[in-house]
Amino acid sequence: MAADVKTAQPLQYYRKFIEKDVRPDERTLEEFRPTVLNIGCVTTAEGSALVKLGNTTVMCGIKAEIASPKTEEPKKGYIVPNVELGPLCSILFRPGPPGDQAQRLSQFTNDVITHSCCINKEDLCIVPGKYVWVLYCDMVCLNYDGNISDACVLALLAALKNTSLPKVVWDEDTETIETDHNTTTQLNIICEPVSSTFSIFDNEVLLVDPTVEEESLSTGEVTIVTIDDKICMIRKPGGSPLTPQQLDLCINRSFIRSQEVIRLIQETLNSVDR
Amino acid sequence: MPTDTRRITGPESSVSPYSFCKIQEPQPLFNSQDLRKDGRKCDQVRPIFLKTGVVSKAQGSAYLEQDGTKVICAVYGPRAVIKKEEFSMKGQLRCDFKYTTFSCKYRRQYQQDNEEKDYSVQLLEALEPAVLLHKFPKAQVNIYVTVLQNDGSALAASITCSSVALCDAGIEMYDLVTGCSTRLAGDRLLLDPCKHEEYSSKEHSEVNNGSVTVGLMPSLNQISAVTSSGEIQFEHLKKAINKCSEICVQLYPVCQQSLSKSVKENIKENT
Repeated sequence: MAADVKTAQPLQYYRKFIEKDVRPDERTLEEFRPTVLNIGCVTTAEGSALVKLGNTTVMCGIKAEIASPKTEEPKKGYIVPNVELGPLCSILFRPGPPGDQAQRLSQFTNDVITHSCCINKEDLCIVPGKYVWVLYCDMVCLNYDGNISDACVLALLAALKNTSLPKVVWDEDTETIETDHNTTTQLNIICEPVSSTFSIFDNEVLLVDPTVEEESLSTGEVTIVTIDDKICMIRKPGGSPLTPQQLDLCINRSFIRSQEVIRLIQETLNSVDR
Repeated sequence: MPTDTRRITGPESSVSPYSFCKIQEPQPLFNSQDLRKDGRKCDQVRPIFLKTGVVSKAQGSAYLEQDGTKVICAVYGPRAVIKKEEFSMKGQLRCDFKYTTFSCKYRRQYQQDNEEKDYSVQLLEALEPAVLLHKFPKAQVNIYVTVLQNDGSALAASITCSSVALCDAGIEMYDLVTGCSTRLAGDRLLLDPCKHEEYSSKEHSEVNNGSVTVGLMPSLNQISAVTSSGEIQFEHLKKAINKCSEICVQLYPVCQQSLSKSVKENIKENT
């Protein structure tokens, strides 16, 4: 019976739950889904992480390559994040070049990296003006069940924290470089951006960490990226207007989330080291 | 090369750090005690982990891990034929095989390359004999395979993984298809080769150096696919196919177990 109502009248179905301050998956309105993190799962990549946010699964792998820098920025390396929403992860996506949503997400992760300055791009320099590192950060969605942006940012951050680059020796006489894959150096991460997404339901109710059903019913969305106890970015692309009080609520919730996530990353990193 | 406007692009060209590495001497495939580099005997396969139902919105899905080789597969359909493809009264099977960009030693591209296209077809041909295509006329079943990490035998792993995913999706089949591959080196057979043990035509030119991949339907005892590369004498090829088939039969209970486990869990959830 409940399943029929859910298919025929999803909005009414959800309203019944939200009246009682609970969601169909037994979460409260401000509760995130259980988050599972696995760091260093792909050994062919320089850094990798798998994030599960409820059913949503994103894997991030970082491949490092060597390129010549831009002439105007001879000391700066490149970070190239891309989000892949392939046909594997959901029935919504078709094979072919990335769709609008994947492009938007790629741009979003790129913005998070550039605005948060979590990596000093000069750390990626090998020989100024000649060789720099390029970090290709590819986030592949394996299971699409809403709130993909938070999962991507978390996977990216965890993978960057796991990244270690091989040692490079510069030979001045022959002007060539040689890489040594047995000695690696850990990438230095300056700060930890964490994103939290809220979905606006029926123009007023805020739902934390929406599933794909909640996203499809929502009338708006807010994503807040925080660094420790500061705000890095707020993204609210249109949708229902929010009162300042509601926005305050979101920001406070995202600070709490930020602490939870950083603790999770730390715990996982510690368990990997052992 | 045309620039990709739909992705964030980096520098125009970049080179893998492995290209600047000292050239290493090729290592022998096995040591004096007949053990391979990872400590396996020649006829020893790597342990397999198999799990179904990993993609919640797909009709069927499976994840297979064989040490360093990690494959995920999702099955969608039967659904309406999407593109302007040829009309067919029989059901159609479509396979898409893809390596993630970070799955190999050298970075892969986003678009399917020739190897991936070749594997897609091989996979399709291995699975088609096992599926009752006439049960879903005019419709299509899509199989998407993504290799998350490649440490050899990716095609064999994909065959097993996707047949389990098809079964999980409830597509009617005559039998599961299990895959196994082997590397031939002289008179030796190295079963379930790792990446560094795999055959490549550039490095090995001697006779009886090659690789064989077999897809077998174990309970029917029929071979649905065989691929071999390299110059191999018939006797050796026969031996390799037999050995692979043996391993394929051994894989059967693993698939059955994971499928029955997921069915049990489904029943539990629905009652």
